[in-house]
Amino acid sequence: MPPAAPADPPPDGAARPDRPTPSSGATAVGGAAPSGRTAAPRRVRVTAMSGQRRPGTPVRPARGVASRDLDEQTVLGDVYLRGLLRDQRRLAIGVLVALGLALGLLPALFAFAPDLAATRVPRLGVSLPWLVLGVAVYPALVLLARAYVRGAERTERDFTDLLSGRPVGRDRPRRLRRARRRRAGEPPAGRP
Amino acid sequence: MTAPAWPAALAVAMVCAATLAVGALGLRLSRTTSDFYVASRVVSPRWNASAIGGEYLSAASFLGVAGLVLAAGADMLWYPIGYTAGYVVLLILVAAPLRRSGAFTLPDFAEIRMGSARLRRVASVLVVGIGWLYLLPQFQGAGLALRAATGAPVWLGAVIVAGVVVLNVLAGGMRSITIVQAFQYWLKLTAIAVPVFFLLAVWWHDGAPAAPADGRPVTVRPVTVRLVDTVRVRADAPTTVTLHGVLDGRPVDGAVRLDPAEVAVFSAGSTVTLAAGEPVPRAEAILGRGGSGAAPAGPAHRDHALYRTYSLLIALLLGTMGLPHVIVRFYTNPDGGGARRTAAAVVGLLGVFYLFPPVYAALGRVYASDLLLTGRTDTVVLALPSRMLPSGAGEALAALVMGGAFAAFLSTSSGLTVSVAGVLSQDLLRHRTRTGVAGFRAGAVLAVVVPAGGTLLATRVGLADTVGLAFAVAASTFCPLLVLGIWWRRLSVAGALAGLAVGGLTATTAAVVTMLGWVPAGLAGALLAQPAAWTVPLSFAVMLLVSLRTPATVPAGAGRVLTRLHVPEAVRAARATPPADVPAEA
Repeated sequence: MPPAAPADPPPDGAARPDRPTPSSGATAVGGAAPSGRTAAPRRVRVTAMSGQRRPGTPVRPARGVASRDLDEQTVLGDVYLRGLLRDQRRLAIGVLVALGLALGLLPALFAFAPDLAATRVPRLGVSLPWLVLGVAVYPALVLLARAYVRGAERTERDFTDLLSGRPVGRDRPRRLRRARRRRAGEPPAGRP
Repeated sequence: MTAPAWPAALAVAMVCAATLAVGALGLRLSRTTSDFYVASRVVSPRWNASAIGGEYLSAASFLGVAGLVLAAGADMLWYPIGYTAGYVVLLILVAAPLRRSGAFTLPDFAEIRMGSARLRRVASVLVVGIGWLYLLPQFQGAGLALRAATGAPVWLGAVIVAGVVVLNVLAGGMRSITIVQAFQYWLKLTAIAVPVFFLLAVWWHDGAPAAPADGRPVTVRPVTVRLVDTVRVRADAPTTVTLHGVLDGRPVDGAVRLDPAEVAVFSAGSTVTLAAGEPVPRAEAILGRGGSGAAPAGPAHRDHALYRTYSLLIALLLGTMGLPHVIVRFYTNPDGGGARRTAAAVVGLLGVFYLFPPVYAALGRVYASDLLLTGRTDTVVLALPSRMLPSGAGEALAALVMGGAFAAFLSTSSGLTVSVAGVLSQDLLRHRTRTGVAGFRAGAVLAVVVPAGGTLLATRVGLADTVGLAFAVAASTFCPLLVLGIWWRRLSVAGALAGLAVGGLTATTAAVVTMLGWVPAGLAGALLAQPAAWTVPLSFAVMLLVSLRTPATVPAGAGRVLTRLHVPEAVRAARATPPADVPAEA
């Protein structure tokens, strides 16, 4: 669940180093598509929060400048951090729920369905719970762990791309990118 | 045990020698304090995952899991699942941010995140307490295993393990330990896996006799056992045994009928024979608390089984991240992504290992059901090879298993010693020793001497009990601190202190009460024997609510620390590039 706004006072916008205007080179990198399509909607919200830029204006911070915002705790840096935390938290909760459901339902299943628990596995001389709990659980855990690592690394890659002005999600197939854009396109609740 | 002493003793000696030899390699490499603590942070995910696996698979995994499953059936398979899934939770919630925090130890993390020296001291005490709790059963287990295999006195195994660990840690510190641990994971996997194939071949050759499914253990073939110790047994169902010896103080020679709900005492030296198909009376030691295979298995301990299972799962899933020797290992990764990949690899390595102990348990139900009678179920892994295989091969494989068991004791104790020594030297001995390395060495000695002394004092605390207590305490204290500290910026110092205090006190009290045997029957007993299901939420709730009520003690730099924990290293690396490069690259 996203935390409420922090108590630390937002620094004055003027204290923040100015965003550089997009250089022609930066446009060329993401220039294959119109900037409104390539720019992640997250970026749009960032500019809206900073209150200094028209929504929709492409923001291509030069490498390193945006991450300075993170360190110096500007409003913009704070928004970047919240976005990253929110994405990672959503992923973590999703995988944890999957883990909880997979493991949490098994004891109840075997407790309330004694017939199932007493089912013998032919030729192995053991009952079904032995096979499920002793063998089948482990590949599932490995797959879950792999899925999480992939998801977390993707989130971080997107974040790094965002900060360094590269188009986000360029390393993924088009279908995934579109689905992600659609999802992220919904205006987040509670924000202007 | 029927196993001859010499092959097993030789295997133990070889494992100890190999551990010291590989450790000596590290001595040449480690020269600075940073080397000692975290191997200068240059360990690759693959090495580190093997090392974590080697360190994590303790006596409880190598011997205890098979013993528990033999004693109490498939419900106990939740133990290895919990041990493994704990790493999935650790991976998801703490692995990468914890590495990025740049802390050496859990108290370091508490101080970096919360900026409070008081919180750091509380965390230090908890780390040392949990570490000692976890070391105690390792030393105990070593003593028991050595006695089972060679007949040596119990203290000898404990002294051997403690001695090798201290020498090794003193010599090389963490870097040598990383190599040793990685080596020991593969040794342990070999030691437990190779005999399984031979045992299964014998079982198949015998016509694949099946033990009855769960519930009451029944002999598959006739068993005769000569009792070394006096045992108190209880039968689940009416059963008839042939006894030559002393029952309840009276000499008996012939068939005896045992009724359920009655405790029968067989004196040492008696010979008990069970016909095939008879229910096996089980030793009291494995029916309830107190024994080395403490499991909720007896009639009095079977109530609220579902609650116990869930509570156990919570303790294991959430407690793993709070074990000091688990966490310290992640600091040796080069970056947060490496820590994450390491944790994922560990899940795979543990999963492969835990496929094997249940096989020993299932075979033990067929070939070694007398271990239920004598209560020595923890020795089933050691006992099966020499029982099932012809003498030469049996001895060799028994020696291999014994070597693996000692690898388990050595590696877990080494890891625990390093982490406890790190905390002791940083927080207790910092101002009393001249150099960091000297402090670390003093800490290492102290870290081992206390639990070894506890073992020599012959505590009556069971192996699985103590390990379970360590998990429950870790889940009720460090889990909330880590999870909220990493994911919630409004955690306050007062909230963290209150949560640690409430979680630590309730979990410790419940477990101590359980171990002392003051547990009432019914629901209250279940709540005390498996406290995690209520102490963990309680600790979380206290930490959350107190934090919300005390916003003044939220550390000022919380946002900056969270940035450091979550922002990938690539971003920082990009910032480090000189501005002149920017136009060229952009």
